[in-house]
Amino acid sequence: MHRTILTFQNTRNVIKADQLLAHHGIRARIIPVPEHISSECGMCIETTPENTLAIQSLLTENHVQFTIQQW
Amino acid sequence: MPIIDTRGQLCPKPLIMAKQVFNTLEPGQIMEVLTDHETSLSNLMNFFTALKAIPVSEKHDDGWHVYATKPLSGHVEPVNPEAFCQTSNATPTGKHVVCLTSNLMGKGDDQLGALLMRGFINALAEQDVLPSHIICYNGAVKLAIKGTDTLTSLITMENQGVNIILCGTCVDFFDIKPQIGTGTISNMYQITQILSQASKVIYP
Repeated sequence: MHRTILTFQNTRNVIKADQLLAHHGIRARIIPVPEHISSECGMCIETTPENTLAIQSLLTENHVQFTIQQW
Repeated sequence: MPIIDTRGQLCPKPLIMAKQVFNTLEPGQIMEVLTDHETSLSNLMNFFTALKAIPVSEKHDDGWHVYATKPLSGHVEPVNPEAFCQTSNATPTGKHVVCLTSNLMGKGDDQLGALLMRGFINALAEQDVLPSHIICYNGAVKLAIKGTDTLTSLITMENQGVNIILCGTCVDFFDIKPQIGTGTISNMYQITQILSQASKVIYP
């Protein structure tokens, strides 16, 4: 299964991004950062392929830094 | 001998078709069911075994042929075909119970707690062995509200056989009954019973 996640510099940015997305009617799925990406405890946002572009531009416009990871 | 062809049909259709014909059999009469799906074969075998019909299967080029015999006598409990539908990718459920007491995980900061709980539920849905029950009381009933990512995970788990139990008093208190998207709205007697009988209870 192909999966896409957005990781952030810190937890506060995850919360900020989640609130931003919710405000724009985009439902984000919060999951722990998968162990193959980081062994440290962290949360990230999983997106669906159809939402990825919209989320990307929304976060960029609002200056929330993120990294896209796919596997 | 009645023969039914269930090839290409998804569960519970083959079982319902088999049951309809089985009910019309005379004691001692044999019927044959044809299937091309391994999971359906396994479901049919379990289903006929419950009907005391001593099923036998043979593999042929066109699929599996299952032969079942109507028992001569003896009481057979009525069986529900849908209860025998195991999907091939079903995740086994363990004997542990996950008890959610709040929509927040831990104490310290509520925004953080809400984020952690969502991470927990969504990670739980991906576990190899799922709990037998997930009990939600107090603020945890909000995790089953429509439009949340936690509801999606709860539904995923419910579809794999996990019983989602929501405290009725709590759903009423928060006045969110119309917004609840899954689970059984239950009472304290049932919650007490499930917790008492669990081999292990996990409080995240």
